[in-house]
Amino acid sequence: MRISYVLIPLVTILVAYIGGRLTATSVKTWYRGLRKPSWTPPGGVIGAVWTVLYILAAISALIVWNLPGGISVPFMVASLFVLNALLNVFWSYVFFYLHRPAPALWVCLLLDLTIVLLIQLISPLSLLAAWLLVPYASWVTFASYLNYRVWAMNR
Amino acid sequence: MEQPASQYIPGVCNIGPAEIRLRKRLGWWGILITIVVWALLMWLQLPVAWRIILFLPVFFSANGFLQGFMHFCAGFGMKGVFNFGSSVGKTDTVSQAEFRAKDRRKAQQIFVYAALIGIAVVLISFFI
Repeated sequence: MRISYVLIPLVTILVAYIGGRLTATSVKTWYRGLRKPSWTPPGGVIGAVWTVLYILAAISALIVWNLPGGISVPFMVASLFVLNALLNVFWSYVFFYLHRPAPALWVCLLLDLTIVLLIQLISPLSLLAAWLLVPYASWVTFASYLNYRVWAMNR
Repeated sequence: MEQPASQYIPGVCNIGPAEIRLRKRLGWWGILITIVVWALLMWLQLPVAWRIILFLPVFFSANGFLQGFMHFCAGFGMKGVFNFGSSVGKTDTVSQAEFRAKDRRKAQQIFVYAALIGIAVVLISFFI
């Protein structure tokens, strides 16, 4: 059995777990007290969407890693996936733990940039793997706008 | 200006203009990400140890530039393939074991250089 089938889901679960723990530090306290746009999705929906997105991203990484002919720029794709995971956790840390929506917005934009770069790198190799990341990119774009609105309404 | 080789040379050159362009472009994106992450760490006034995370974008960027300017893909070198085609990711196989060994050595060299650049930038960031 290839190591990627264990490693990639494990890393994904770890990222989801750490992100969840950081979110839990203030989602029912500080976050609840913030002014938010009326279209802000309920917490349960946000959690469910993230779960689906993590699964799609993990499947995408698994497809890329197990392409029969190998992949172009593998070190770069690998470091970009890891960087993306780090930024994902870092956003939760900055927004929910440090309560700093303004820098969190920049982290969110960087996160989106890394997803777009990943899609660009992956699409010549596997269109399916690239498309699996599109919902992630779309959601993070939405999250960036929500983050911006929260910052603007509470500064 | 140095022209990229138009054919595969073991341990020297295993990618053509399309792959080289991609790597240089990624190198620039890596620099941008590094600068923004660094600025964020300063803005948030996080402890200096946090700057270790700069290693990743620097490693990413260094890989892009090193591979682009050396006309050599480390990943292809490790896998024993090359690409001089007009599109990215379509590879041909290196048949001779001796050539594959040369490519692996060059790939390891690029990997080590990129990692050293990453470590150097992290260390420098500790003192800024």
